[in-house]
Amino acid sequence: MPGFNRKGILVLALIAVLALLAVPLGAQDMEETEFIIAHPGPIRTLDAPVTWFISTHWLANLLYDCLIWRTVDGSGYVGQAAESWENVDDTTWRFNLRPGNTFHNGEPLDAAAVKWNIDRVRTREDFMVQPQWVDVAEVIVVDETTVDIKTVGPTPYFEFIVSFNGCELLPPGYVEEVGDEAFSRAPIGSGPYVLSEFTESDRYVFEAWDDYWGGRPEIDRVIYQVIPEQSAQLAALLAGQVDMVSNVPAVELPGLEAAEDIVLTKETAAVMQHIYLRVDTTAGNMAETYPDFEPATLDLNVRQAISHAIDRDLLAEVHGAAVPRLGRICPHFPEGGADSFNNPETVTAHYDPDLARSLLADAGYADGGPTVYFDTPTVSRGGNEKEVAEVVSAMLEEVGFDVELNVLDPAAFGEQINSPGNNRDMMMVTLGCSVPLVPLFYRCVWPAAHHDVCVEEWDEVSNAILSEMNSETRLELWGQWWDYWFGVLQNVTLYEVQANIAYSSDFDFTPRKDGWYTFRENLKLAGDDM
Amino acid sequence: MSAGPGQPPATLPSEEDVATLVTGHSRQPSLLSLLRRSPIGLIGTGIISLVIVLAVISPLIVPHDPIRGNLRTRYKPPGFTADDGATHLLGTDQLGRDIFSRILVGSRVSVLVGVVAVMIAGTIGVLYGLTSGFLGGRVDGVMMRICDAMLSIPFVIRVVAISGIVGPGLVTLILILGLSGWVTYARVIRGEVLKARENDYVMAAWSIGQRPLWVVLHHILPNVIASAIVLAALQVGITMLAESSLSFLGLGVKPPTVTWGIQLADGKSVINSAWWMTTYPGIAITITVLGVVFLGDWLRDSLDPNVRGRD
Amino acid sequence: MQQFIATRIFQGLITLIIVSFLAFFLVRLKGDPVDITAPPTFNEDQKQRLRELWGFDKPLAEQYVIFVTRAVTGDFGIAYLSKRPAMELVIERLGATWLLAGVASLIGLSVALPLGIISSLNRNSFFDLGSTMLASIGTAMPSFWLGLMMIIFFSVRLRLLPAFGARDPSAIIMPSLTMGVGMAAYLSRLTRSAMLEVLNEDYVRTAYSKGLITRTVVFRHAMKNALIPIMTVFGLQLGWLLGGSVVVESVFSWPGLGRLMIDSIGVRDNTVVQAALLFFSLSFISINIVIDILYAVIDPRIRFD
Repeated sequence: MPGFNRKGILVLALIAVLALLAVPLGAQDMEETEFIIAHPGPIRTLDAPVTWFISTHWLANLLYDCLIWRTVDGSGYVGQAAESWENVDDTTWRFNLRPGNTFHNGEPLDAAAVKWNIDRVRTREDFMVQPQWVDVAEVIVVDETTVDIKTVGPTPYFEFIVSFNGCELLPPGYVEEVGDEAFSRAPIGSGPYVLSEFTESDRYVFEAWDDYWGGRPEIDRVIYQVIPEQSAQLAALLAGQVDMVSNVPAVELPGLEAAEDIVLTKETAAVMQHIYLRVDTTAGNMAETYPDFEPATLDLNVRQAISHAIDRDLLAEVHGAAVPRLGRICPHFPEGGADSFNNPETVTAHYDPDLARSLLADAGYADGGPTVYFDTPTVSRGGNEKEVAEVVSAMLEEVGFDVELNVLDPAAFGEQINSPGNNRDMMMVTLGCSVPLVPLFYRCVWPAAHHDVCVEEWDEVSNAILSEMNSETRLELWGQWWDYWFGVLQNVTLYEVQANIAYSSDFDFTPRKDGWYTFRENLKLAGDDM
Repeated sequence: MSAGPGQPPATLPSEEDVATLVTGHSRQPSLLSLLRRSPIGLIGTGIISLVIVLAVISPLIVPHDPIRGNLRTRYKPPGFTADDGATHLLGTDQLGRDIFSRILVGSRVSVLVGVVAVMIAGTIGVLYGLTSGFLGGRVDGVMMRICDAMLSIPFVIRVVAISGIVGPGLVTLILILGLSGWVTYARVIRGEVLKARENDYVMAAWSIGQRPLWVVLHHILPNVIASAIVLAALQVGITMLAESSLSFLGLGVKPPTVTWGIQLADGKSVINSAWWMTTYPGIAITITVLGVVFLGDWLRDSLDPNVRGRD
Repeated sequence: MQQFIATRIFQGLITLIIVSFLAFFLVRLKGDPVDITAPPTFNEDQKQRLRELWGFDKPLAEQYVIFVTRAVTGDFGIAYLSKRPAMELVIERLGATWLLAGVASLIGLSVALPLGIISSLNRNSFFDLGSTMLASIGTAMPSFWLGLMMIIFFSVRLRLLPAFGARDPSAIIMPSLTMGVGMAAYLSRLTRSAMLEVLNEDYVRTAYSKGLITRTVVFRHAMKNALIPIMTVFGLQLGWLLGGSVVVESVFSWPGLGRLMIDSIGVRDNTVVQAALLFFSLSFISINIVIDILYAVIDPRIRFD
């Protein structure tokens, strides 16, 4: 028996040693500049149009060019594959492509390639991003470097759509030759970087491309390293093994401030945290599934009481990196109410527990109650959802509510929120705050099961906004839109989420206003005056 | 009387000897006197009694409200004294709640979950293993394949599936942990039974025609229970940690209920700076486990027919 | 003996079929993958088309038959999100998972056996007390805590070891230690108990009285008999480790099966979950077969019926 044991152990040890030797050593050339960002993962595919997961698009953005792209400061658009573009008439957008531009494999990036790409995303119904492209009626190749895109109707926010998910241009010849599946394993684009290595579970390595139309990028290699645990990400940064961590918990900031070679910065994550309130029981199959459930939030007084009972300044403090807000568009956009509803003083003044109590009394709950069911994910895109929900519950109970808080894992929460008609009054939801998408969500034709509000007049305003080409008239329409928003009060906005970013002082970095961690002209070597 | 309970016979026992073995309980030293002679048992009993007493009286002795914290004093280190003079011995958590108070109150559900789940798992597992090992043959084959099937479905999947059928809550939590832990015991006990049933004294009991149930309970069980007790003692700690990962998945008890596991989960992402949030609940679990392990050692010794009474 | 092994393998296959059945229905108990993965812009029609594309519109029984007939040829379908064969995703992680499991259980065994044996030979000594305390701490210490503390010490303070990944050969040190500690704690207690049990049995004491020296007694007689429970638990633990540990893999960013499984459950990617489950159960079933055979090898009195 002892003999057997020893032999067994020996064999195992041998296997272990051999396996260790088989693991390739990470070759690192000190001459080249390498930038490693910690990414929570998983990143499942780089065939960009397929997925809806934002973080995949961050990486995709290094690899692919779009026609045009949002500027770093979020104020406008900049040409990528298109050198210039114009709005020819209400329904026609003309893009002038860069002459002689090619994909990484040498395939020409011409008008035909653009047409092929846009036709692909707008017709492939299995693509997650397809619904975003339904406004495109036709793509016309004018000449080799000119392409016209016709929209179904006037589409003022077309630039947003054409630079949003699914905009990535793929080489048609290569995709058709190898097929979708093989392409997603060895993707090719026309962006500043080429993908040199990817292991879904480990890391994604991008190498600078010499022939990029804008010149070879300054950083030779960009690596997205999958590190799932937030604490481990920070440790890796402190150990000098990664160069950037994109979402630092506020409590960790003092420790990082002390570190000499780490720079801290803060930028909007371009999402807002809301509490979704149930305003209707007819949505989905709720009437059949829960015939006896009558959400207390059906009463506008109750919804207003909830909004006034919440001390958003305190919530922002609990969250650690947030700015209190009332309306769901980020105020760095003209539509975002920087001087009105999203102004810090207005938000602070909105907190009025006495008003909340009297609203509850008006609703018939003078002696306490009502009971509200409140769902939250443990953590999601907004960060710290569970803690914030706990504090919100305490605030609501302060004015008389009886809160049944239900903490779910993100997947279960996702099911809960997407399943048609569940028996909940309130749910924590994180929503993007970019202008052009917002009105979409409040139209009567909107599909989501729980977006069950349909106010005819509001619908008309939303539709008008989405087809008004004159920006001043559009801003006036937005004024009306916000009246409905606050009048219906389906979403109680809490705060705009910000991200604390920590990165190595070897680099010079400008965070993007859209919350994307993608690196082009916004990342340079420190001390470089380019 | 050549063969006392502490000394298995060197040769095949006579009918008399077996009878003595079987009925010899009255001459065993009482548990209490055993405890007096065993320092380890004494320490274990001391720790566990302390934990239980603290758990019971915790609402009366907590220095601060364990549920409502002061949001202005979040993530404060151990020994922090607030403006109003309130001192937080072990610091505060992400909502400004006193860690010490939460550990005290958290002991109630944590210990309950740990102990009850382990008892459920242990009881099912031991009975299952006994039956399987003793009956042997085809029944054993089928029963063990059921075990294999159980083991082949990872904990996470089982949890997700169970929570899909019943909603989260304390009972669900105990059931999940209890019903997924029994297979270890079953396999260990069954292996031991296979071995024990070939032992001389079991053969002897067989040979004099004792009823199977009697043989199992009086000859096999005492010889195999030691491993189960050792497993169970360690399993208490593992169960408490599993409760932590369940509450992190949102499948544990609901807030405002406090458990050590929830505290661990809360502090997980801020270990770099707010180390006290995870360290102290971790120490609480460790001390409890130590108590249970000591107690288990002593219990194991006092139940093991070979070891008993020889100290 | 050969017949026993053949029977056991046959039984193993049947178990595998049962598991495939359970796995198939368990992953479908909770939730519609389309509800989770589809973007909010999808309406019911589009979701329905996605269901048809992924085959969820068919009756469950039919889906199961399709799943099994394809699975026997090694085809577990294309992962919904990765658009890669599910099997490929699993195989990509097997190497790292098995390496970690192997090294961790080696550490576990090589610590647990000496610790448990010495403890049992010196019962109630300070060594015994010390190892009891160590074992208690070992099982009660959350592995994410231990893991992060190691990262902070070895990677941040000393700058010695990589904090993540499996690229550098030294990267395995911390994750395998983290996993090994829990295993060592558990096994050492069991070894001690099992040793105590046999040390007090008659034949061991007979061996003593024959004047055989202690070490020989311990190894020849006692160890052999104490092995049964130790082996059982070791087998179970190795089985779990082969399935990957979500916590350790997350803390050390180790590219293993545990994370793949939990990530796939998160998006209800059933193809990947099923493929991973199959490997998980395969490793469990084969380990248990080996253990059952070893039972008989160690103690020939245990019959093969």
